[in-house]
Amino acid sequence: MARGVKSPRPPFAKVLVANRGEIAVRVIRACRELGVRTVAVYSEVDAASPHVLLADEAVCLGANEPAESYLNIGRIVDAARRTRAEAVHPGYGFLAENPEFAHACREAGLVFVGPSAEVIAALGDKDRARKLADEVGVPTVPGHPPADDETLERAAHRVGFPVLLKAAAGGGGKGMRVVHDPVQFREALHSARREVRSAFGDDAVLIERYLERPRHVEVQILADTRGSAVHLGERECSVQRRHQKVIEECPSPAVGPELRARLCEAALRLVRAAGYVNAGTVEFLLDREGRFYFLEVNTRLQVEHPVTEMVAGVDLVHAQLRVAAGEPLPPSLAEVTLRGHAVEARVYAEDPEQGFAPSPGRILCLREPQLPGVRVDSGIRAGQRVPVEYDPILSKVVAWAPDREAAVAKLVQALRDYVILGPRTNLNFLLDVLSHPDFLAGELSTHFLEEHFPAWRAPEPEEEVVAVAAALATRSRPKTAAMNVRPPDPWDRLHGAHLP
Amino acid sequence: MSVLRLRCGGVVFQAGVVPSGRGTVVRVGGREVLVELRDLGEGAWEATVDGARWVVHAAWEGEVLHLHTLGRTYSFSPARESVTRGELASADARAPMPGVVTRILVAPGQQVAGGEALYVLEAMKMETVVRSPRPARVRRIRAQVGEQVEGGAVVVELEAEEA
Repeated sequence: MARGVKSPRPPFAKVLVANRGEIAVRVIRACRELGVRTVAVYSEVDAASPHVLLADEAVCLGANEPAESYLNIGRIVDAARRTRAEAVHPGYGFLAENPEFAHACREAGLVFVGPSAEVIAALGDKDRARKLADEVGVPTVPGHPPADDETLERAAHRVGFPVLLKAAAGGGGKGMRVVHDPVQFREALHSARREVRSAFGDDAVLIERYLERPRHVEVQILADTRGSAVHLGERECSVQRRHQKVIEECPSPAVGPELRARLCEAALRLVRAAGYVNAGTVEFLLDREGRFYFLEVNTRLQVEHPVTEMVAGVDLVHAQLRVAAGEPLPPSLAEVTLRGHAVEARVYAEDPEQGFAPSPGRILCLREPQLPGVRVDSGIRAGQRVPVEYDPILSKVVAWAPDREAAVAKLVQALRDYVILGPRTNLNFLLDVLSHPDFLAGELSTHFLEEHFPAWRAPEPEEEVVAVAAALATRSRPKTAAMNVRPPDPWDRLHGAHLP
Repeated sequence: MSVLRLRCGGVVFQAGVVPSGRGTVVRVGGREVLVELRDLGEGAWEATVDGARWVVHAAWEGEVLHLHTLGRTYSFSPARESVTRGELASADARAPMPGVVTRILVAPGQQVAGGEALYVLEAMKMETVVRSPRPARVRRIRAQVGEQVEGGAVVVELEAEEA
C-alpha cells in the first residue's frame, strides 16, 4: 500500500463464508478488498473449487450431500469457532434464510451478516410477511396461508383458479406450481410439499391468486443498526423459467420516476416496520396498469445484486459487512443516483434442448469474456467437475452501458465470447432470448419465456461449422484426448468406412 | 474418402473427409469446404475455412466433440443409429439427467397410461417426475430408491401394450 494513503479500518479481522460457487467467490473477493481475512468451507467434491482456492483458510465440512456440508449448521459454526472467525456471511441459498442458523451464530458469539434470526423468521415466513404488509398498507395478492390439504383446496376455489402454490419458507422457486385445473390441485400440492420438504425440511405450502402476465420488480434496501434505511432503486427480473430468474436488469424499463418513488417508499415502509437490518430485497408483481403487489422479502443478498451495484455505484457486500460490524450507513447512500443501465444473465450448467435438465460434468475448456463494463462473477475453473449435488449456476455475466440498448448489445457480445466446453450450458439460449424483439423493446412479463420460447431448439450449425467439426474429428483426437480415459472409440471405426 | 456421421442437436450430418495438402476437404450438404487447422494450445485452434480465419475452441468428452466458434457453442456426437436422441430417451422412460431416484411410483407388471408418473428423480435440488411416453406395461424396475443414476439410464423398463 502506498505510504500516506489511509485505508479504512476493516469491519472484521476474519469472516467465514458459509457457501460455495460464484457467491462464495464474490463474498471472499469483497472481504479481501476490505482487508478482512477469509475462511472458506467446502464439501469433499468442492475441495479444489475456486472459492476454496481464493480464501485464506478452508475447512472441509464433510460429504457432498448438502445436509452433511453446506446445510450443516453444527459443522459450520464449529468451523467458525475453530478458525476464530468473528462473523459468518451466508451468501444466498443454503442457510442464508434459515433463522436457526442466524440464531446458532449469535449463540456462538459470531456475527451473522444479515438480519436477526427473529426478523428472518418473521419475513421469511411469507404468510407473516403478508400480514405485516397488510398492516402497513402495502398491497398484496389475495391468497391463503399454509394449512392442511382440504383447507387449501377450499381456499383455492374461493380465491379462483389459476392459483399459485409456493413454499412458506425459503425462495428460489422451490415447490412452486401453477394450478389451472381444479382436478390437478391435490397432485400438485403433494408434489410441491415433497419438493419443499427436501429443500427446506418443512412442507408448509401457501396459495395465492395467479396474476396473468405481470412483471417481477424488486427493490434493493439497506438498513443499519441505528434505525436508518435506504433504497437503491429497483431491478426487473421478469425473464424467468419455472420461477427461476434468468435475466435481470436495473433499472426496470417499465418504471418511471413517479412509480419508482411509490414502489421504493412501500419497500422502505415494510422493512422499517419489520425492524430490518442489513441488505434485503422486497419483491413485487407489477401489473399492466402499474399497480404493484407485495410478493415477499428476501432477507439476504440476491443472486442479481450486481446490476444494482453497477448502476448505483455501491458494493453491497462491503455495505453488508460494515453494517454487520455496527457501522452506520454512509450519508452518501441516501442520495444515490442511478446511472446508466445494467443487464445480467445467469449461466447455468443445463441443457435447454432436454427440458433444461441439469448437465453436470467436467469443465474441459474455459475462457471468460473480457470487455470494459462487463463483470463476470464466476464459481468455476477449467478442469473442475460441476457436481450433481448443487444448484447448476456456473456464473453471472453483467454488462453496464449508458443506456439499455447498449447494455444489452454489450452483454450479447460478452456471452458470444464466453467459452465453456464440457457441461451443456444455456449460453446459446441466452443469446436468442437477448435478441428477441420483445426483449429489446422491454416488453416483458414473468411469462416471457413460456410465451416466446416454449420449445427452444439451438439453431442448426452452418455447413462450415460442420466441416470444422469433421476436420477436428479426423485430426485432433489423440492430442486432446488425454483429459479423459476413453471407452473404445466409435470414431476410429467410422474412419474406415468408405463412400459407395 | 472416409465418411463421418455427426449429430448436433436433433440433426445428423454426413461429412465426407479427404486429406488435402495442409488441410482437409470436407464434403457436406452438397458443398466442399477446405479446412486448415492449427493447434494454438489449451483447446484453441485457428481454422482457415475456405480462406476465412476462425478461432475455434474444442474439447473431447468421451466420444462427444464440444466446439465453440463465432459466438456459439455446439456439441457433435457420432451418429450410429438413425434413431434421434429424443426417441431413444422416451422408449424406456430413461432418466433425463444424472440424479438420485427418490421415489418409484409403479411396480413390475403394472399397466400405465401415457403420461402417467413412473418415478421421481432429484438432481441439483430440483424434483423431476418422469412419465410414461405411452400406454405400456412395466416389465422391470432397474434402479432402487436412493440410487444415483446416469443421464439416459433406463430406470423403468416398459413393454408396449398390445392394442
